[in-house]
Order: sequence, then C-alpha cells, then structure tokens
Amino acid sequence: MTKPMFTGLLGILTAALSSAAPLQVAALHPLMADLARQVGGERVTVVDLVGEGGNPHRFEPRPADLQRMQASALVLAAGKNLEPYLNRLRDTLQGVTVVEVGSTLPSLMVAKEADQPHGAPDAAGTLDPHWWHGVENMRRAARVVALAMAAKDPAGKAIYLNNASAYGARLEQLARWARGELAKVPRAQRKLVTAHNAFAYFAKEFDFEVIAVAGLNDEQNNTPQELARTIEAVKQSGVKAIFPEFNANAKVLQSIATATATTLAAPLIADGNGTGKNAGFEAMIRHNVEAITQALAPP
Amino acid sequence: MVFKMLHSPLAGTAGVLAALGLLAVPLLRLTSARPSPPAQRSAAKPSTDDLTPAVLRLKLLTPARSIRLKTEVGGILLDLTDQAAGESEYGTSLPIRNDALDLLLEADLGDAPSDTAVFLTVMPDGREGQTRYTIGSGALTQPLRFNWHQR
Repeated sequence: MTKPMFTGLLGILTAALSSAAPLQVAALHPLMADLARQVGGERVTVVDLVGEGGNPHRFEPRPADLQRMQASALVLAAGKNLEPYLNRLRDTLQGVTVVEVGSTLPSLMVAKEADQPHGAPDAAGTLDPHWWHGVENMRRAARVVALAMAAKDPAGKAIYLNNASAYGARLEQLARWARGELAKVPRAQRKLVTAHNAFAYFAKEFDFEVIAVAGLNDEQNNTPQELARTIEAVKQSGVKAIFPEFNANAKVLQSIATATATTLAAPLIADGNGTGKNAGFEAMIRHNVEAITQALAPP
Repeated sequence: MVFKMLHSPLAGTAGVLAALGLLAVPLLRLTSARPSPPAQRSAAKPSTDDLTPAVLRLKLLTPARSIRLKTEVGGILLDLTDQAAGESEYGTSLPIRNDALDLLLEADLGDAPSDTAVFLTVMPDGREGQTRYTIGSGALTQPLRFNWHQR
C-alpha cells in the first residue's frame, strides 16, 4: 500500500470514528444532566457529577470530577450563582466550554425581610438560583442546551433543536396538567410552607406564596427568633399543611407543625434530588404537584 | 588637515529653537484644548447596543401562507412562507426600549373557512416570556405591544 493511500484511509477512518463518537457532556446539577439527556438523546454521553439524589448546593468538584470534566466537550452548570466555584473551574478546565444554563433566564430576587418576615434575613436581596423549579424556565433552558451542543457538534444541530422542541411540547402539557391540578387548591390555601427557600419560581408560575423556614441553602439553620417568626407566619397564613423535603431532616418542620396544629405533608423534591421513579425534572414536578394538591385541596 | 568653520555655533542653536517654537504651537493646542462634548446618541436610530437577544416562539393553529414580523421601524424579524400548524422557535435580537417593545405581525392565513389564531411568545434574555395573539382569517395585520414594567 502506498503512503498517500494509507494516509487517506487513516483520515477517512478517523473522520468516521469522530463523527460516530457521542458528545460527552458533564453536568453539575442532576436536573442539568436530565436536560442534557432529553436534548442530546443518543448523540450525547452525559456525566452526572452530582448523581441521582445528590444535592447541588453541597457539591464541590473533586480531582476525579475534574478529570471527567476535562474529558468532556461541555460542562453544564445551573448558573445564577449556584456554583460559587465556577470561575476557578473555568481557569482549571482550559478548552472545555462551561455553560451557565440559567444565565439568560429571568431571575427572581429573594424578598427583603420586610416583605418576608419568616424568611432568612441573610439571603434577602440576593439572586434566587432555583430557576429549575419553573416549567417554562426549563423549556427555555432546553433551547440553551441545544444550541450549546450544536456549537460543539454542528452536524447534530437539527437533532438537538428537534429534541428540545419535542421536550418543550411535553413540558407545555406538563404545565397545563399542573395548572389544572393546582386549581383544586382553594386560593386561601395557595401557600407553600417549605423547609428551604427553593420554590419561588414554582410559586410564581403557579400562583402560590412561599413561606420558607430556612434560606436558599438547606444547610442554613434558624435562630429561635427566626423559628418563632415562622411559627407566627404559618399561624397567620391559615394553611393546613406544611411540606418537608426529600433527603432533609424534617425535625424543625415537625416542631412547626406541632406548634401550629398543621399536618406534615408528603415531602417535596427540591433541587431535583429525587431518586428512582422520582428522578428527573418531569417526575419532580409531577410528584410535587400531587403532594401539594393532596395536602391542600379539599378531599 | 584644516577644518573650515562654515557656520557660527549660535546660528545652529537658533535653528533648533525655531524648530521647537514651531512644534510648540500644535503641542499647546493638543494639550490645552478643551475636551469636546461626547457625541449625542440619536434616540431614533438604535445601535446594536440596544438590541436584546431573544427567542420568538410562534404557534399556529392552522397552516399559514406567510408570516411576517416587523419592528416598529420596519426591521424584519421573521419572514416565513408556507408554515405548517404547530410551534416553532427562532433566535433573534429585539429593540426593547424603556422595558417596552412594539411589533407588527402580518399573517396570511389563506382560505381557512373559519377564524383561526396566531400566538407569538417573546422571550428576551433575562425577562419573562410574554405571549400575544391575533384571531381572524385571511390576511391579518396586528400591532403587538409587550412591556416588562415592574408593577
């Protein structure tokens, strides 16, 4: 075999292999991993660094995670200041594109203490990162991810955009179903007393009010004064149930439920940390809507 | 070897001084000139700085012969023909001023026997999506106003 012929065959083989190799996408949030799977389909390999049931608030990349990110074409972060290590990560991951999926989505600010006497005062006025609890936000995010994938794999652009569009249509149906279910909850009961302040985007989309026991991060502890304010706010709100969260200690909420004579409802999934049949965005929304309706709607 | 003095040393010094004097005038103008006022921005002529990246979501209940979406100054954002019923999305940039946006939707809905609808959702970066619609049949022209004023 002549040298030019061999070089040509090698080139064809390399091109064929590179076009067949799936795009590797790493995710710093379980719901960004889910989104990558929905949009990328079989064309991508998703590395879920936080893992099913993991808590993105507590995640800090370890050396093994850095290696997996370095081997990826894209790293998907939630953005909106959820990942305080992102700038350092960008410096470390030379050549890997880090996409803050939520950066172009509308933001909510944490209400000032004056507007939210039960909220954690240290978080007041800061950016609320929990955009992934909004169905419309997730729909917009799908397009962001599709375009980010297309930038790395232009041959797959139509596939990514079609997948994002199909996922968007499913999410529209999900939002319609959620609105129908939540409409069963009387207006006076449309209040979510939750363990940490994660549900403002959900509440805005579905016209609920949030009364959060802790701040934006579920590791924040309450002072006795803050707890007393929360108990007073729950009593004044007249709600009949309060909501613990999966994988979180319900002890504080149990004491609030006892003090306010309310029911401790089925736990909500915050931050996409559901497992098994509750893993992923659509399952999270379905589960939460069912838990809320069951606890707050009349029998 | 004998050197002959052709010029007086004073004549050379005077030449250098004259040259410096000539340079001094433009230098003085450069250093003492008042800064000119910044050029006024024309409000009527948006620059690319005024454009906000956005996604447009178009929803048609029935097929359309053509859909055209224009800005208030006539810039064409969408120009589509023979559109099937359903949803489609388009990336664009929008001239949002004072948290408001005016668009003109022109739709030719063909020979649909009864009224139908065209929905347009505008999703600028960092802002809530807003949906407007027009209902009718045949050729429709509908001004659409969007605003994001804080209530």
